[in-house]
Amino acid sequence: MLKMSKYLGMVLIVVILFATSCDPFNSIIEKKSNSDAVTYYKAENIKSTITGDTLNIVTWNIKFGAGRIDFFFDCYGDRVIMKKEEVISNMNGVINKIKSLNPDIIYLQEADVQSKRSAFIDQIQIILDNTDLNYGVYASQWKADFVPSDGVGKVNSGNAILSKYELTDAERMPLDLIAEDPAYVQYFYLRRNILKANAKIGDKDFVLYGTHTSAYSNDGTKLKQLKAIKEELDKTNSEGKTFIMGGDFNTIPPNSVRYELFDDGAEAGGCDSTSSYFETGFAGQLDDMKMFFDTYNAAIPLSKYGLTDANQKNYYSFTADKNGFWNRKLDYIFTNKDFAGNSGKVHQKGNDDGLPTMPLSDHAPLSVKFKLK
Amino acid sequence: MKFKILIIIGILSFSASVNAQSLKWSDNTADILEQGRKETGIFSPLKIGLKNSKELSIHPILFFIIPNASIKKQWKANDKYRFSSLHKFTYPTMLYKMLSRKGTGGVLPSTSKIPQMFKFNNAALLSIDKFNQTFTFSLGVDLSLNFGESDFTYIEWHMVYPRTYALNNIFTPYAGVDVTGKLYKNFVYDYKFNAYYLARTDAGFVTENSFKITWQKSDKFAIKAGAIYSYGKFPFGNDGGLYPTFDLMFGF
Repeated sequence: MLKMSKYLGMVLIVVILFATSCDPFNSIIEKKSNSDAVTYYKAENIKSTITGDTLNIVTWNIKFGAGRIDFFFDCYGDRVIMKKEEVISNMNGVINKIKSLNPDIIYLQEADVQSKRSAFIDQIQIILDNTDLNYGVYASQWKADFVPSDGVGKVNSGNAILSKYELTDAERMPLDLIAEDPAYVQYFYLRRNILKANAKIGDKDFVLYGTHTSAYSNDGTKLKQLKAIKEELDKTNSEGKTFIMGGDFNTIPPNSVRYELFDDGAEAGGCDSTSSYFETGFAGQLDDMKMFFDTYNAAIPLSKYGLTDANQKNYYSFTADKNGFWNRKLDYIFTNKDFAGNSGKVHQKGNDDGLPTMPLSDHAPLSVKFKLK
Repeated sequence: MKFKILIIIGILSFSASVNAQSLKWSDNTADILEQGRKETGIFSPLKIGLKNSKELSIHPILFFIIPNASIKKQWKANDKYRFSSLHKFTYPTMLYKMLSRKGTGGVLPSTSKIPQMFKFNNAALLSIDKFNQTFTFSLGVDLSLNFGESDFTYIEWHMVYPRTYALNNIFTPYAGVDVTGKLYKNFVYDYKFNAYYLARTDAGFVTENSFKITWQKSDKFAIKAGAIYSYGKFPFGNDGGLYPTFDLMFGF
């Protein structure tokens, strides 16, 4: 009798322990293995692909299909949730631009697959189904059954690599969480990562990397993330493999003339220093990207980026102010092989195809041609 | 899932050989508290046994942000069955306004326009004792009458969604079955299945399977612990979530 009573007591304790130790909002993506934390996608219809002498590579932070709706974190507005029609309309713009850019491989950041803010539309799938891209891999960067802050609710947003070619062996490699954030913020907020996938294109094997590093890190976490990315690239390079990496590094290049007091700040109606989304500028971070430029080839090399604002502004890829102009470069593509000379371009205006990029996202797409032969 | 079902069947089989539970503590059946008895919990409401086979329930702490009260009235009780009705009123407007905010705690966007909302819940409960267990069948409906300017979104979190669905969609019918009995000595189990029918906008069901064990130390103190599995059609598609439940109960 006493034994049975003890047994039931143990059951009760186990239940209580379970109650206090689990992940009730399913936000800890890292509880899955790196390979299990990736979702594979396939277009509804697989389109045939002709491989030429170059691969067209694009990276683009698509701001979860919000276009230029001013969200609360922009400080220009207070929107939290979009209507389905708004998301579809914005995504049609993104899709048309992608079709026009015609990438063989595109790295996407802030792609929503199941978020209340974007009407639960799977943005990866609709891009695959409406462009010439066939395959995709996705890794969550922000995932929770419910985020009880600002009315965000359910969110699943992250990095994706989409390709005309099949992607295999994908992994989500976690990066450091922002150390200065309290535990509850770490639990509910963004969990940065490197998304890795392999692709065989023609007779060549590629390792593809996509990433999106922290934006509001003032405690050195972002630099740790950048170093972790560099280490991963160095490892792949040392194994003699070819990599192409694209992403939003949330860091400006070395030699940048503009590094603080950007024209989309408080004076233009953007975030001021009282906001938790206030961008403090990049003083002291000007050399953070140098390690990549020193070792690998960039879509926009430093020689092209130049030393003057008049030159550098041609490669700016971000602004929070839809009524302004791009004012800093945060987006990059790197490889340990060769890009076709001078092919790197930030699509700031849409003069080529009549599809302006400013209304589509707070980032402009960056493209470059990779030399296959 | 199969494993969970096996555990539940095993517990039911085992408990069938022991006596039915004590009625001192309140439960999900058509039974009511003894007249004069009161009980409450950290998360549970204060329940008071009244005369004329009635039981009053209010959540005293939450009352100031979400005024609420419910009455359970037992209409019939004999050897074969007990029949009760449950009538609950909540006024969630103040709570919703509090939760419509920027930053931490902002369950809804700060721009939400919250109307005056009067939510009524009415349910019928039929309890039958069989195999030394108590089986309770319930059928009810949530009804919300809203007045004034209204522009606020649903709360899609698993357990909250069906319970607040009527606030956005007027009504939510539901039905359930509960099985409870004594496990061993002063350990009591309770298994409950509930299905909510979400009638408007992409109609579908949300179901809940909850299981808990209560250690009734005495008539004055008990510990409840268990889990609830919510599964069904949410605004983002079919989904499920498992959540722990826990409470410390005090009777007096």
